[in-house]
Amino acid sequence: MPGPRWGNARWRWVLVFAGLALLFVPTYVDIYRVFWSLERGPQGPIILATILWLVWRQRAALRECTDAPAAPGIALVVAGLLLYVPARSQSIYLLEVIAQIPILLGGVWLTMGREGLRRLWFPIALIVFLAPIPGSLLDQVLLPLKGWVSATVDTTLHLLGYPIARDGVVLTIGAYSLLIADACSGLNSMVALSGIGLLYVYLAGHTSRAHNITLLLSILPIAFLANIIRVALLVLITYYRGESSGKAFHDHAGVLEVALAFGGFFAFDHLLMLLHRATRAPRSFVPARHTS
Amino acid sequence: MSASTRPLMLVLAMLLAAAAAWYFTPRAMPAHGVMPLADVVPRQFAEWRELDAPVNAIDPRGQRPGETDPEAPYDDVLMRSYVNARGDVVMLALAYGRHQRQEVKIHRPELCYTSQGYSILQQSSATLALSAQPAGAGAVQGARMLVSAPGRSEAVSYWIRIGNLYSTNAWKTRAHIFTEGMQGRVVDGMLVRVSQIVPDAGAAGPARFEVQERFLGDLVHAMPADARRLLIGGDAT
Repeated sequence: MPGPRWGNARWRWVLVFAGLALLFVPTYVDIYRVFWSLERGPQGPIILATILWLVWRQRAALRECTDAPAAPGIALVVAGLLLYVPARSQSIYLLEVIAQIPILLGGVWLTMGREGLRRLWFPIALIVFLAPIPGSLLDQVLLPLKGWVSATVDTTLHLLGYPIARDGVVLTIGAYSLLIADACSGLNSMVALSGIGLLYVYLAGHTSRAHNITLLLSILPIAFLANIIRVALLVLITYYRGESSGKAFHDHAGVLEVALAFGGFFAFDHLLMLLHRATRAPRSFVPARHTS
Repeated sequence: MSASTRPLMLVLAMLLAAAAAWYFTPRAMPAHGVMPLADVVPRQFAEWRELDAPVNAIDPRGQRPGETDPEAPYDDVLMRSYVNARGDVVMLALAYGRHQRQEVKIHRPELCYTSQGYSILQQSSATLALSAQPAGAGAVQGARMLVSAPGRSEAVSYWIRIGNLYSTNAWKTRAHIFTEGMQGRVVDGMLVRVSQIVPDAGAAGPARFEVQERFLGDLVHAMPADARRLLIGGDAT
């Protein structure tokens, strides 16, 4: 039966979550308005939901615990809040999001101790992938990436016999011309897809270090490939079904891209496992299901 | 600290931070209130008069053809074409935003043009010598560009004023918005852009830009004083 002490503890937590909400709900409202609601894709909300899910998954194991010395936790929280104040007041969204990381790490350390931190460091670290990249930084990286994406799509479809031509970042296919815009070139989605890759590696939970490193190295190529496939599909749908179908696809392609990337990691992971088994047990006639 | 005080200390620290963030949020809006631009920019000045049928210029707000960024920071935009007696046609684009933020600022023309399929053939920063510039105003730091897309080339001169700064560098601009903001001041921003369609971007000599600079000088000179501050900054008197 929950006694008065339980009640106190619960109220303390309600207050902590209210404090976090006071700091960061406005942040996410702003980021949604300025970044996520535009056509930069649903990757941000997907990652946010995943973070919340990862935390929720651990809820039963989280206990209030103060086995950790206070000093490092206080240092982290204070550093995070000192970053938050100028970032929030001057709307520097990138730093606003990043400030959550030390605040949450320090808060978990102070209240739930080492065990809490061990369970929650990964979802907290994933917050990095929610950070919107400022326009001036983005512009410097975007142009070459845009060029690569449109060049790869152009070459591939050309080899497949489609009437496609490219002038800079403008792709012409049949009667249509498509501009590979900022959002399409997908630097934002590359960042978010990298987060999804890390998430996959975390959830897959392989013990082999070589396996994990190979998976980590595959993240950027797979994210790039998912991006290429999305643009190629957009071009093909426009070619076969007209501009309005292309636009409809474009507006929802982000979900597809996340699915493609996740599928890509899954396929590559299983390919690695197959190779591993093949090299480990070449004489085995039995499917090696039991080894996992 | 006991188990019960740690969460409470956290809450207290977070409340303090939220209050501090609220305190440092800039609220003092810039004094300029001369609007709309269409009323303060003369239709005829010096040797220039407005063309009745304006040339179809690149919208300074546009991210992509036909799309206007819903978060674009513009409160007023003016696009006109002018012509002089010798037949030089100049497209003028003014874009004003009262509240410039770190991530929501006036778009730089080079990005505007590239995002609409133009390639930048040449770009250089330039101190624009506005011949008729009123005494006391500093030199205007701007840029010149030659851009081209299939079927159309343009010579472009522009400057961007953000607060008291001619914005030539993204990080300096951010720093200016930040330091002004921490002192409670919202900074405004104005893009002043002129462009001309040129037959061959490669062949556009310096004379091209000379016409544009003369136009800009005439324009700034012809503006009423308080409206002129919108374009080139300077203290209100």
